[in-house]
Amino acid sequence: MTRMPEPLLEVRGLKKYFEIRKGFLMRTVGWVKAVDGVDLAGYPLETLGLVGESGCGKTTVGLCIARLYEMTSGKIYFQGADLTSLAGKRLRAMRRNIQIVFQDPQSSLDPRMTIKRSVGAPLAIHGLAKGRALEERVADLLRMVGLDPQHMNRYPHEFSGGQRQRIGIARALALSPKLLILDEPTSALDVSVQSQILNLLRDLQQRLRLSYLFISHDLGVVRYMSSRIAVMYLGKIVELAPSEDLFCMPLHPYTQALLSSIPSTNPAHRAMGVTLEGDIPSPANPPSGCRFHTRCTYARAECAKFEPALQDAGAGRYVACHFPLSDSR
Amino acid sequence: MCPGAAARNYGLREMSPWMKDFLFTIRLVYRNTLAMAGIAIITCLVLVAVFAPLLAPYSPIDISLDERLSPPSASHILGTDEMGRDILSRVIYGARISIRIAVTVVTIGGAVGSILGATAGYLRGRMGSIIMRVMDMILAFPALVLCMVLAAALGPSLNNALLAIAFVQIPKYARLVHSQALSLREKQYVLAARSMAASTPWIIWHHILPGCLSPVLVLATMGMGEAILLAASLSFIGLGAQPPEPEWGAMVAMGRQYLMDHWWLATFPGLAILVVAVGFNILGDALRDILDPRLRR
Repeated sequence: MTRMPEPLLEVRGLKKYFEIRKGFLMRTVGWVKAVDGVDLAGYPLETLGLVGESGCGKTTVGLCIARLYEMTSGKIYFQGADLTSLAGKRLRAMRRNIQIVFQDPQSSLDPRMTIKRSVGAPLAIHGLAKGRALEERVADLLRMVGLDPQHMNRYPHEFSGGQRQRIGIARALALSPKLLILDEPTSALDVSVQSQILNLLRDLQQRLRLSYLFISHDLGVVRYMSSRIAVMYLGKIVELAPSEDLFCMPLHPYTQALLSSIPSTNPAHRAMGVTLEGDIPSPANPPSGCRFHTRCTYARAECAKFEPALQDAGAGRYVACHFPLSDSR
Repeated sequence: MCPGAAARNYGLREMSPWMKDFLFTIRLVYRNTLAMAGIAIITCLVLVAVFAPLLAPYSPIDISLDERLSPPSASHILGTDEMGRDILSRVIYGARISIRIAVTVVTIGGAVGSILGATAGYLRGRMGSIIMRVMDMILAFPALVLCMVLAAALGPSLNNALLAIAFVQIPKYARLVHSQALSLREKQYVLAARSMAASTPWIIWHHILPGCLSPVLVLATMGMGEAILLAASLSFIGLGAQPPEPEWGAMVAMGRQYLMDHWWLATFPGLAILVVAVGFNILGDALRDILDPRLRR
């Protein structure tokens, strides 16, 4: 595979453990290993998809990259600069480059603020515009996401879910970020509205030269949006591959199981299904060895003992499995 | 924010949901007899205070020793006190002092308490715990006793008494806002604000405090009645308003010595305290029901 340009975003060994506190003294009795050693690289102008079941830590990865959670360990580099150590003014300045679009458009807008105030807030906070200038800029942003600027004095409850998500996108774009973290931006929306939002996002990516980290559990949506996809399971990345390769020939049994869970209209397709049994294990007490071995159809004895590392499988693909799938299987 | 300016540029001004909500609340208040009674009393109090110079037949402080301790009559409807001052005029001017008490105490106590509570609730952790434990310590003392100690330490004057009362009211607001802030801080819009580098004070001011407004409003209304009562109590024991100020509590205290033979000295200012305190309390009660989303309509 040809060498990609300098990565825009690089995540190395990201770990985020949440404490479990119990009892009167609130002693730490354990850790929920929400994210347990994630390595990722996002390149300029690409969309990197991040998929996994709910609870696998994908949102936590997004929030850590945006420095909304203090990570337990690991490093995050943005345009080669280490974000992890930033604080104060420099962290403030950096935040302009990375913005988030949240999952729930209902709760991501303050019901007591007009759209103008919500969308204009980032500009006001950074002292970029006020008064008329701010109003103009908000109007531009609203037009950019396909909303009527005349409605800027309305309140969030007067908009539909899709419109609210557009407002959330407008707010995220206000600071002209380079990287947009899209945390399940469409999963709270109707299917018909989903496609509108996705097309808007693609369009904006072209026009504003944005890079996306697209977090979702919806494989169809991720495939449509992403050039490369990382599959997460229980706080780790199990497979990372260019979009089409991943869908045509999954290397990790978990990816395969995920893909076969997509409902298909083609009866010939359905046969090859491998269904996942059981629930996702608790991240507070993850299985030994390969975390997927408890649910893996191909698991062998070694899988419970040794943890597989994410290894280069050629052609820009990476897989964390002792016995990666191949065409023959 | 200036919605008017925006209206000129971008078409029709929309009626905000808060405006609609406010109008709906007005209608509920209108239908609520208790609330209307409270509003009537408080409106009377405000009108009397504003028009005191027009309503009062005599000066509230001019002494007229010839007429001392005269019973209610045509010339002095509520009688005169031991210095010959007209009690009706003093009660009327006392309304001004009462409003000053209510407004000062609730403004200082409510503002400081809300900000402390919002800060503690938003930050949680060590800082939040320290703030809330200090609040608990203040609450552990009976309000009046703590007021007395503070007022005595600051020196007897009405302003010092008001400071003492405001201080004692702080924890009530802090606890209320704290609990509200704990739930508001988990909203995604707070996370969004942090992602765009909003400072902690910005988030507290723009997202947390506005969300706590309506319960604070209820508490403030009830707190006004309580403030007037506390101030009257402090004045009664000589720690609040000093003579010759026409403060109702101080008037009751002076009149107490004459209660046996000249009942009108203490009775009328006492009645004024009662009516105003009841007025604020029933309005507060009614507002609580009206603003409670579960009891609305």
